[in-house]
Amino acid sequence: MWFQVHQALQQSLHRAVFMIATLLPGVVALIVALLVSIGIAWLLAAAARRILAAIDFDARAEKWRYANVSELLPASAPSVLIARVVFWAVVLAGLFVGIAAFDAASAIGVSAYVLGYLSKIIAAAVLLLVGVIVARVLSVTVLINAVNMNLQYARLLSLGVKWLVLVFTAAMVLDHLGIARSIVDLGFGILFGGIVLALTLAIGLGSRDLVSRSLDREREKPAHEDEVVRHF
Amino acid sequence: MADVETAQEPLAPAVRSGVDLLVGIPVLPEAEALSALATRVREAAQTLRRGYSIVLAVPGESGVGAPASLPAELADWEPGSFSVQTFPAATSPNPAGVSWLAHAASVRPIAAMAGTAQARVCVSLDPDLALNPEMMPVSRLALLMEPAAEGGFDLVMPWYASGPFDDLVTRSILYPLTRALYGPRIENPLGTMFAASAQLFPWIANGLTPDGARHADRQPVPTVLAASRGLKICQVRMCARPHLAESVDLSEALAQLAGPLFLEMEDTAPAWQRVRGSHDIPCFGAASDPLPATEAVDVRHFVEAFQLGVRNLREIWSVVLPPVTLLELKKLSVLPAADFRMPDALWARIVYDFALAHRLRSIRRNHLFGALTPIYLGWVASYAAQANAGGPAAAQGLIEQLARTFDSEKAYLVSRWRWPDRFQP
Repeated sequence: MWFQVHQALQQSLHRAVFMIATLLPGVVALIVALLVSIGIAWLLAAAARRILAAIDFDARAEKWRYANVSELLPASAPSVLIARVVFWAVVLAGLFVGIAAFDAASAIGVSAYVLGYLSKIIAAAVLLLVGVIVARVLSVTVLINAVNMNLQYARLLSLGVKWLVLVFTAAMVLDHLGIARSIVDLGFGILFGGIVLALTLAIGLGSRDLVSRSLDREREKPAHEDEVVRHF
Repeated sequence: MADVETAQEPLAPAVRSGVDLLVGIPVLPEAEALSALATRVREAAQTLRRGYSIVLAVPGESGVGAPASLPAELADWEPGSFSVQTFPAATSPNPAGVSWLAHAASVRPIAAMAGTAQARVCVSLDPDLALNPEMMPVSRLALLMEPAAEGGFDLVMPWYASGPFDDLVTRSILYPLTRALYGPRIENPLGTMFAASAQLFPWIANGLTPDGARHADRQPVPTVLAASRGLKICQVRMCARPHLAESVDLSEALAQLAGPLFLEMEDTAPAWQRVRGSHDIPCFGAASDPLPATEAVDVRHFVEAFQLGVRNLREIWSVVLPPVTLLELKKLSVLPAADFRMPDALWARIVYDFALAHRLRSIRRNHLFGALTPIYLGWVASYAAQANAGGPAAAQGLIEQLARTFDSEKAYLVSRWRWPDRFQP
C-alpha cells in the first residue's frame, strides 16, 4: 500500500513539475513581453510629448477649436492626453504579444478567449465614455436652464439627471460585459425606480415648501412686468 | 481697401443694371400694401435733390427677375424710373427668434441683388415698420435714403425712439460694446434696416471677413463691416420699433443678439485693437416721438434671479470669469434688493470676459449665453433701480456713463484677448 501511495505522490509531483515546466517559458515570455512593451511605451510616450511640445501642439489644438469640447474631456492638456493614449496602446499591444507567446508555449488557448472578450471590453469602454460625456453635458444644460427658469431646486434637478444617466450607463456597461446579468437587471430596476421614486417623494414631500415657494414667486411676478421692461 | 469679389448672383437679364437706388424688403406684401409701399418709396425718392431710378426688391419663388404679378397701378409706371424685381428668398423668417431679426437671412440676398443691379445705394427695410405708413411715412423713408444717396455716407443706421426700459440688451451690451470696440457711437448697432453705399453692400453680400475668409452662413452686421473698414456712418431718427409678442426666451435672445457681435469680434480683432476711444457720428432727423411714460419697475425678481444664479452657477462662471469678478458677484448677491447696485466697471469686464470665452470656446456657446443671463438680470436690477429714482433723462445718462466705462475698460479686454492664459483663473 505504501508503495502505491508513494507512486501516486510521485506521479502527481511529476505532473505538477511537468505542468510548471510547460507553463514557465510562456509565463516568462508574457512577463518579458510586458516589460519590454512598458519600456517601449514609456519611450514612445516621452517622444510623443517632446514632439508635441516642440510643435506647440496645445496652443494649436486651442486654435483648432479643441476647446469647443473641453468641458467634455478630462482637464489634462491635449498633448498629455495623446501621450497617455500612446503609452497604453503600446502596453496593450505588448500584453497581447505576451498572451500569444504564453498560448504558443503552453497550448492552453487563453488568447482566443481573451481576444474574443476584448471586443466587448472596447465596446463597454466606448459606452462608458459616451455615458459620462452625456451625463456631464446634460447636467450643465439642466442646471443653466433650471436657474433661468427660476427653479430653486436647480442643483438638485441637475444632480438627479446626472446620476440617472450615470446609473443607466453603468447598467448598460455591466450588461454588455456579461457580468452578473440577472443581478444587474434586477439591481438596475430597483435602483432606477428607487431614484425616480426618491426624487418624486423629495419634490412632493421633502421639497414641497421649496417648490411652492418657486411657484409663488412666479405667481407673485407682476403680469405687466414684461410689458414694463423690454429686453429686446 | 482690398478688392471686393463681385456679387454671387450672375447678372440676370431680367434685372436692370445701373439703377440708383435698390430698396429691398424681405417679405412679399399683399398687392395693396406693395402698391402703397412702392408709392411711398417713389415719393421719398422724389424729395431728394435729383431724379433717381429705383428698383423695389421683393422675395420671389423663382429667383431674380420680374414678379409673377403686379398691382395694375404699378405696371403702368414708367419702367425707366421705377420697377419691382424679385430676389431669391433666402429662407423663411425665423419665428423662434427675436422678432426684429426674423428676416436677417434676407439682408444678404438684398445686398447681392444691389450688386447685380450695380446700384449706387442699397436700402434694406424692416417689414414691421416699412409696411406701416404711420411708422414709416415718406419723410422717414427719405431720411433713410438721403445720407447714403446724397450725403456721401456709406452706412445709415436708424436710431429708434425708446423708453428707459426698452431694448435693454442693446443698451447694456450691443451699444457700449460696439462703440468701445470700433469707435462710432451707434445707438442701434444691430438690425435689418439700413441704407448702404456701393462701398459697403458688396461686403454685406459676400460675407467676407477682413482676412478673406467667407462666412456666408453668418448674419451680417453692417455696422461692424463699415466701422472696421473706416467707412462713413451716420444715424437717422426713427419712431419706436413695434413691440410684438416675443416667443423667444432671454438666453436665446442674448445668443441671437450678442452672438453675431462676438463672432465679428474674432474676425476684426486687429482692427478694433487699434481703435482708441469713441466718437459721435452725425445724426439726422428730429426725435419725433416723445419718450413713453413709464412706471417704476419692481427689481425684486431680477435680484432674486441673480442671487439664484450666484448660488448655482459659480462653478460654470469660474471657467469664464476671473476669481476677483466671482468675489464681486458673491458680495453683490448678499445685498438687499433696495441697495443692489452693480458697478459699471464690473459689468463691462463681465461682458468682455464672456466675449473672450466665446472666442476661446471655454464652454459650449449655448451654455455661455445661458450662464450670462442671471448676471444680465442683475445688471437690469441695478439699472432699473437707478432709473426708477432718476427718471427717463437720468436713464439716458446712466447708459452714457456705462458706455464710457466700456471705453475705459477696453484695455482690460485687449490684454485678455492678447494673453488669455495670463488671466486664466
